[in-house]
Amino acid sequence: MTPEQYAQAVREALADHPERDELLEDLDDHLGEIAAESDLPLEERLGPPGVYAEELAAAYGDRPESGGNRRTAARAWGRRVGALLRVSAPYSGFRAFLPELRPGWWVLRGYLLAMVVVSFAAQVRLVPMNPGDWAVVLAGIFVSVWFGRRAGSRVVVLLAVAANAVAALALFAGMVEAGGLTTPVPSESVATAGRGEPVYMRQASSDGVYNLRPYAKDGTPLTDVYLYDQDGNPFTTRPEDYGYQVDRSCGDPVLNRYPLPLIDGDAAMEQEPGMDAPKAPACGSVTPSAAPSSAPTVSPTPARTKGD
Amino acid sequence: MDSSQLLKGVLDLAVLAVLKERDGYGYDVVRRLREAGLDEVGDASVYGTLRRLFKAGALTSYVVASDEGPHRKYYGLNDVGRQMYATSAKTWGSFSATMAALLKEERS
Repeated sequence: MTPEQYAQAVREALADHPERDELLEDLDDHLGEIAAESDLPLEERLGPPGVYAEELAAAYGDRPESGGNRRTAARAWGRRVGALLRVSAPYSGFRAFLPELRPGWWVLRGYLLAMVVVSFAAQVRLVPMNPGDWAVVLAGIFVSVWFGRRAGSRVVVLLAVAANAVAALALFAGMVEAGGLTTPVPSESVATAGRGEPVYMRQASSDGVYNLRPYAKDGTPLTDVYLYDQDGNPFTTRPEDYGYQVDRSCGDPVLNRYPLPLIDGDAAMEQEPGMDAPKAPACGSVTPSAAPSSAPTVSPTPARTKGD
Repeated sequence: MDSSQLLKGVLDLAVLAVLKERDGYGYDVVRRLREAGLDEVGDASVYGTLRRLFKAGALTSYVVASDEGPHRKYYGLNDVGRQMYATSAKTWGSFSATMAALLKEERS
């Protein structure tokens, strides 16, 4: 290794030293002097350039010795990984391609930040809903592109990092929201009733109701009452969401016939505080029917008064 | 005891002492320190110490052209360097006397 090569290796080893140029000002002449005094190779007389560089920096005083602390070791490790990546062809190609993606990101960033702004003003949304939204989106894209094209001062870089973070969060939140919309809404579900034809069964469980107890006008508890909604669909609950199960000891019960015979985890009949437990229908006493034969009608009979 | 560890603490004073005798360039200082008996002194340590003392304003430097080899950058003490040398030498004298007395007591 010539003095020039050795000096260059030392320079590279001290690439991150804040005063490298001042420290190594006359290193070439110094190494040339040493080389001129002996035929022995410099590596043999002075050791490897990396070790020489560490010793030099330690004597200079602005950097700890080799392995002196974890930060130094981590930086050295980072430099080695960086050097390995730089000579990797796929990584180099990827890095070269990244700048071409910038304009696209600037547009997307402006759009996302604009949607964040309009979502604060009204309801949360991912696409512009009115001309006002479009105006904000266009302004956001314009500002974002203008911002991206400016050569970065420190303040601009910090602002850009903050804007990128907000935009990335908005993008992530939007993706989560979009994913949530594809999940079936559990308030209505397709079930099979009657002859096996799928019908939409209205659920009341979203209101915290898992059973119904009908009573007659005079306070008599009613049993085996079939309930339907305004469209004639069976009105059902989801007791399993509340820790109960429909008692199937007498076969499959009709799920819109109330009160439902419920059992809890201990297989006991549901018992609500302060109320008598409704009796489950006797096995075989009721013919199951999933749908009314006709829509329920109300035929009010005017009460006769004395004198009519 | 590893003398290289002791040397680290007094290398500044050793370099100042060599330059007080007469000006010298980097490798010349290394050679004179070794001739004085400090065999384990490293070239990089001396070179780094010279650059640090120069940065601290204790040394002057000047380049001397050479027909036989590379230009040589000579270092010499200025007033700050001489004052630094005097202070350090006094401290070392006191310290080494204390150590010598301590070791004499241990031996006796």
